[in-house]
Amino acid sequence: MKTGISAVPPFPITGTDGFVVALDYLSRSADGRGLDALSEIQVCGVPDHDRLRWLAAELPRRLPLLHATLRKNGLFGVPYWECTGEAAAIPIEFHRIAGVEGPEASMIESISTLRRKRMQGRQRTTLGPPHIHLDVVRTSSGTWSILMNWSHLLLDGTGVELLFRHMDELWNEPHAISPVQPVTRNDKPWWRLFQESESCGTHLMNLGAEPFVSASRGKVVSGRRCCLWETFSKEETARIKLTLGKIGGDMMRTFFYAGLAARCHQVVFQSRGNTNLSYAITMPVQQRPKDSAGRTAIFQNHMSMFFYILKDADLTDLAKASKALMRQHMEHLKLKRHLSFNSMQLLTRCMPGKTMLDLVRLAQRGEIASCYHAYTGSFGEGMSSFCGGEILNAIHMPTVNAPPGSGLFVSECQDQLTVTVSYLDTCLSESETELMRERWRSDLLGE
Amino acid sequence: MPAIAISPGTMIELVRETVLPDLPAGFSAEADFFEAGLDSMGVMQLVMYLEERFGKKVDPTELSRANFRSGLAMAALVMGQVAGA
Repeated sequence: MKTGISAVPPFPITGTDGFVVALDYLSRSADGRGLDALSEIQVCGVPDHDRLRWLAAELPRRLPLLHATLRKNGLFGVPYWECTGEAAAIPIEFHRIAGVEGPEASMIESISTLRRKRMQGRQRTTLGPPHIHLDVVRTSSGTWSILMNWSHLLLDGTGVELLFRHMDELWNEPHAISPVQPVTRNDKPWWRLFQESESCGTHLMNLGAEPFVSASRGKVVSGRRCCLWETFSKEETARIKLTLGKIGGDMMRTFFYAGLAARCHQVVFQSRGNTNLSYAITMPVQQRPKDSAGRTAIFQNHMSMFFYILKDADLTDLAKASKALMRQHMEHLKLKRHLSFNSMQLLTRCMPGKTMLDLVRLAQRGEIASCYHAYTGSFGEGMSSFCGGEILNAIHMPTVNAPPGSGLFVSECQDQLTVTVSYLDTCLSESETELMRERWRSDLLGE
Repeated sequence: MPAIAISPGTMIELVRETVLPDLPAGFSAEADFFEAGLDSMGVMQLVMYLEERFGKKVDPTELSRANFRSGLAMAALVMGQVAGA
């Protein structure tokens, strides 16, 4: 295997990365595993092992952050990625499902078994590579899947889609130019960031004034990482778009699905006998930079996070919930809280993860939010093929830490909507996730 | 409410001033804001500015990509000729 030593200067983390580093710390403090996720693309055709191995070796040579280690100098230094490591190939394994003919030596019972295994992540003793692990599975004589295990320290859901997209680009054009990761610069002194953070800080303190709930009840717990997802057919997805179209236009989708996340959690808490509760819903909004050639950044987390409070009375139906979220969103924008939040992220990115979360949880009675939520939109900005085959579907299976212990995520691929609930089995039971599924089917399909 | 003429050009200026400062000179009335970098966050900011400057309250059903795609589409939205959700 050809390797190389890169001479890339230290690469500072973004403001959003600072918060993710803290959440990764929280996850590791519970059971040693970092905040990892699994993403999968299901493809038509047969996998070309040699070319996939070439991709796994080529990517780290082109994208130095793939073999970087997260470091920090001194208590108040900004953490940075040190890219001096060897550009080793991304680990890649090839399997086939039992009963499917193929050259792969590794035979697995089912792809679900592998997904469950990979979702559990690994014990992290360093914050170095590998940040990604690939599994290629021949699922039938004419289909295969690629599973990417990835660390949230280095990538977010949108970034993973862009990485898949770039893999496909290199597959088709091995000499294509790779995006250059833009460096996050901050020229503002700390006292200016402190001043600008005030509006958001006050808002976050006020969130905790009225207690809200989460599935972990504010406790740091470990558990088996689980996922339940449902992909709607193209016909069902078209029906869902009609249903949502009666509430609002297509730019409202972020609010629909955040409202759905809140309503799906509400049904669980109501089943536990808890009513008249408040829910703190997170809504990440992408703020992704581009390089000088206009190519979107693949790595690092780039979000402004909005936190909204919904009460039971706001959650009587999806229309009411999404309009309540939109109303709060407009208030936030008028007060420029997204800019304040960005300043707060830059200010706190040098803070040790434990200190950052202790402050948040102190202000919010142990909690961070009622649940996680993200809507990633059309997979890979509408990509329809991957490494030589037509894409059948693509799914994200994020993992969550506790608190809050659960999250609801929505994505789209090839005109098929997928709703995923990710949770720790110590925070939600299987029967509770079934309640959630009934709620999303009734909200989206009117069943 | 100050009287500001509503035209595709006014809308392009609004977008340049508030959410896409790097919008090129000569950006045409039909050119696509989304291809130029407009995202959902930017659209929500535009909703706020349309109300502030033109008194246009955007209804949730009008919050569509089609209505914010270009200067022409936004001007039609403000003048009440919506493209629909």
